[in-house]
Amino acid sequence: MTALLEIHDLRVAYGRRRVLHGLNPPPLEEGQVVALVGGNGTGKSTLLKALAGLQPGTGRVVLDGEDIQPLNATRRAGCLAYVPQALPQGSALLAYEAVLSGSRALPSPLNREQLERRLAGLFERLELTGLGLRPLSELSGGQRQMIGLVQALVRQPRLLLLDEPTSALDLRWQLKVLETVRDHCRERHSGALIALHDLNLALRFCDRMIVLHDGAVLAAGAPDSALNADILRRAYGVEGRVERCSLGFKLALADRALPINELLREPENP
Amino acid sequence: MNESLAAGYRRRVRRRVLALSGLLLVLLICLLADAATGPSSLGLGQVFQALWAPHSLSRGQAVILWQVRLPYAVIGLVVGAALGLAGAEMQTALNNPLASPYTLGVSAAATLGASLVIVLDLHWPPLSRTWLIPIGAFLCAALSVTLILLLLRRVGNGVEGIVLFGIAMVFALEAMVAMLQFIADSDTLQQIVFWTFGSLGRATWDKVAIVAAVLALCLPFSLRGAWAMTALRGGEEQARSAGIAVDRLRVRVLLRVSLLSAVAVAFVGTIGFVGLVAPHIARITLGEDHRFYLPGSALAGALMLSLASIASKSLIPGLIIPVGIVTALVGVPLFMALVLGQRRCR
Repeated sequence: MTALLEIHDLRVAYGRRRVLHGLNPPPLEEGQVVALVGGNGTGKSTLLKALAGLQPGTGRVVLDGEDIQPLNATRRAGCLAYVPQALPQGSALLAYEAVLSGSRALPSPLNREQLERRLAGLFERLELTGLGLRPLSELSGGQRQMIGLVQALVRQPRLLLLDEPTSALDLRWQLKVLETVRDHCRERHSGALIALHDLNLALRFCDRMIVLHDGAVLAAGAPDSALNADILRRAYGVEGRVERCSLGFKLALADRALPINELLREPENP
Repeated sequence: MNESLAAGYRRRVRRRVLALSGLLLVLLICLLADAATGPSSLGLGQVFQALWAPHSLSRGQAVILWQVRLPYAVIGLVVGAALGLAGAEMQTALNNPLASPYTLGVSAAATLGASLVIVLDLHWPPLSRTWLIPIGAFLCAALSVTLILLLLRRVGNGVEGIVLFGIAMVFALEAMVAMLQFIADSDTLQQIVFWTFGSLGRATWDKVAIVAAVLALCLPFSLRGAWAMTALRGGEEQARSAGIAVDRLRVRVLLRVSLLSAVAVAFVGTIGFVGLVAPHIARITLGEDHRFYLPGSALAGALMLSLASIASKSLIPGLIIPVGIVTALVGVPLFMALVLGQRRCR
């Protein structure tokens, strides 16, 4: 396996408020899908934006052996693509145009026919062909989310950065999106870093997991080892454990959130 | 199925080209109707004939047509087009459907610039007043745009912040213009009132040429950035992530907006409604692919001002009402008919 993405001592602040405190997660390998999990406000979206060059930060971000930290978002566009949670709601753009325009705005190695073929293939792969000629304003939040994914995939980036790509999707489409991303990474030997709240989806589709807590890496590694009972308690304030099942792993949770005073208590030494 | 998506899109594109051509045709008809409207008896037939055979008119009629009516009609078109284009670019660049040169204070700033040149009786030998007034208007408009850009950098492009700032700017700038009016003598006051009403009445071919030249200068740059602007409507973060230099795009757009609105205001005064509504008309009829939306907004703006110009000469026989007063009266029914028609089609 070859390291695709390495992050060294990445720090990000909003004004005086520090959000990421020197992250050093394990490298993301080629072909891997890595889930970025953790509670609300722990810095998942900030990390993705910092990697995309949309949020300034310090430290080193090495992609394919090159430090991309000095590059702005425009220059990073050649190698990575970022997909935020939602596309604008009030736009009269057709879904097809929303994807096409991003590819036509800058010089592209593809001619018109090649671009049209690639676009049509992606719309078909994600079963969105019927939505292509409808305005974004007439699409549901989930459908717009999928169009956002097509906007990124059409550029065939080395690294996909997806912020909650399944948050507005029903069960079938959640599987469809993550399956497409996983296949894309395997086929093209590229990688994906996906912020996810649904831990069962993360366990099912991702090769590695990074658990963030208070802007730092709490745990990282294979899904079953990174997400043990202690990490679940500290990252989410819940009692639970990861169990093996016929389809891989699943999360078993107690039916109540832990009281805040229990969360603040330091874990006891075994 | 693959074929049908690209083919379906191409069909849409052809339909938009047709719609743009239709809009252009209606505009030409309006131009002729505008040139044929006025107190002296010079009908549509005579105007049409005079365009092919200039000697068919008497000397008096020729002066009325070529020195009065046609400059009046043509400046309405080019100013309307400039305001429509400026409004469309501004709404996309600021991601705000309420943005226009008027609502964000750019027009008011241009009025202040023009008023300063008039009241302070500024002269600069190499340039005549025909040029000094728009330059004054442009400098003030550019200053107000710079303030908007600084605000954007500080607070992001939130709809509320920018619109509130624009409204505050309009109040402050109008207060300054009012102050200039207060200290001005009666002749100067009359000239300033002309700007604030918005009137095509002092149109000359020189002024038409200046506005048309600025429009001709800006439009190719606007169209060159059409794909990037379209991508911006598909989401700012996606556009940035796709490699589009959004900040640079925004600065260029706002500079074009200040140039367009400055020359428009300098020659015809403040006309508020066109820059706001023309882009919405274009959006409803042509969508938001900026290759069509930008020229469509320019044509819709030109059409609105042309219709307003006809109405300004027809509403009260023998009296030409300043076009700025009539614009909203003509534009609102046109806009409402489009919005209601679109709802009924859904």
